[in-house]
Amino acid sequence: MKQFKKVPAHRLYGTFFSMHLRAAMEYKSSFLMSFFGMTLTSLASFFAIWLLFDRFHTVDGYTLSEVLLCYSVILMGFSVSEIFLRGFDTFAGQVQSGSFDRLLLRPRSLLFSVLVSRMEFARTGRFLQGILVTAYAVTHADIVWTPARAGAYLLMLLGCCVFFSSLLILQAGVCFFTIEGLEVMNIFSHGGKELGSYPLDIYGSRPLILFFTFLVPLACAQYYPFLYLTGRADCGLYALTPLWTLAFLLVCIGVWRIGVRKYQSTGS
Amino acid sequence: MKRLRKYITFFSMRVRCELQYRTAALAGIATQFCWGFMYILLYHAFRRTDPSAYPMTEDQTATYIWLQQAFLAMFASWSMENDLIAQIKDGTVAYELCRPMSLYPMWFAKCMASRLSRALLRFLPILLITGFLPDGYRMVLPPSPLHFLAFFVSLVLAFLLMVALLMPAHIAVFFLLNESGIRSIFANLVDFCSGSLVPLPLLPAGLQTVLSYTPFLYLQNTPYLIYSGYVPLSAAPRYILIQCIWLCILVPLGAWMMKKGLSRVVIQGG
Repeated sequence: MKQFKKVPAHRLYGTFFSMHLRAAMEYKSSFLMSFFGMTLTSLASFFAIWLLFDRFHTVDGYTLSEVLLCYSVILMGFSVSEIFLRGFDTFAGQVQSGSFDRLLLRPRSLLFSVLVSRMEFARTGRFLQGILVTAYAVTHADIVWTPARAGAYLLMLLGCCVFFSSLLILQAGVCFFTIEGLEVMNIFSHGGKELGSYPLDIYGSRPLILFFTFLVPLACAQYYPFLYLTGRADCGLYALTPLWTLAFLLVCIGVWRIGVRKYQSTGS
Repeated sequence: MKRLRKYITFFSMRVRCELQYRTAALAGIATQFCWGFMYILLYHAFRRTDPSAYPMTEDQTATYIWLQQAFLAMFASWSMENDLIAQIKDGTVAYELCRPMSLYPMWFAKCMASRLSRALLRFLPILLITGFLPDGYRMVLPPSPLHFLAFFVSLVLAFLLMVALLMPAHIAVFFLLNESGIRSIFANLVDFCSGSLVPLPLLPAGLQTVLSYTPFLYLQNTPYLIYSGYVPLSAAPRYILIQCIWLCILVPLGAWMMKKGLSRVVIQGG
């Protein structure tokens, strides 16, 4: 019997990536429409921030460019998770229709199979917009850039990507228990995106920050490194808090694993 | 009355259908609470920063936000009637044309029914609970019963106006055969211009003037501002009149578009 050589995961991922990309390009007009639609949505929320600052100029001592720095890093992290973890985002459908059963038969890890099952390139519009807003914010904010601060910014971006990706995995994991998608999970992902558009302390609520530090580590991904970046906090630990989102990722994967173990097919 | 009966049947059918999804309603209510708190905290932050630039009182802000959350389903710009769109796309709209009722009022009724039925399940709990929150976050009573009356009339008109605006968005699918682009343009335009993203009094004065020449300002924004007394009672009749005028423009426009759209439909049999 012929032995098949196992393709390394990164090459397999590349194959799926180009497959999804080509598939999206087959329907160019539809792709462009949802691309612009997505961009328009985040453009509206950007415009809202802009106009509020037109009236108020600052909020709790934060300038427009500082707030935009917060907003753009969240936007980029959120859209990265939406582009690449679309399979987890729409996972409820797979459990309901029973097509998850097919993935169980594949000779790859389940996380990998779900990861490559869907990609949503139309969301790149938001990411590009995030880059543009970042460019504006970085050139207009009074930040004295040092290597440490640049590193903090990169960690912040990484933290946001990991944070929103973890939430999507958690959301998919919860589907095993509830079968249907849970709208409540949107409070954390979309709510986190909205909340994180501004530095978290402007809301003036201590429990809110504690919640988003210890239970859902949005503050670790973005708020604390942001304080370090803008010189409001000197302690280097503030710049390292995004690493904590990796622990959150592990917890979310844990929930997913428990879900898989108790999974009973809904049938087709 | 007899002609109305079929629409009432439609409506009660929809409500009973919606009542099956109580968990979804509960989840929706929870989400809307979080959303409401978030916005109130945000606007209070702006208010703290520069009270002189902030046009509303704390109570007015909180009330605006809670009314918005309570009646969200009525003014949700994102939710279009998927079955109507599917009818246009797969051609089953032909069956609808065989029915002895005209299409525009029927679709209008369907659209109203699905929005109202969703709102009916959600608005009372939100208004009741938010009435007992601490100062500054509480949904307050209107200054007088007359304010409430004006609010109610204006809310009904705003809702009709919203549905009248939604109709052309649905009908446009006849021409484009794809709803995703329309949906996002329509939703973002309406969300931004009707105060569901930022309460309109917080926008720059020039922009508010521009919006006052469009129907958008007279959607949810108007009844909420009348309720809280931000729009003085003496000005309320003027707002209500403008709402009526826009309805008189948009309903015939929608019906006309529908006629044009239907004239393009080719029924291929099968």
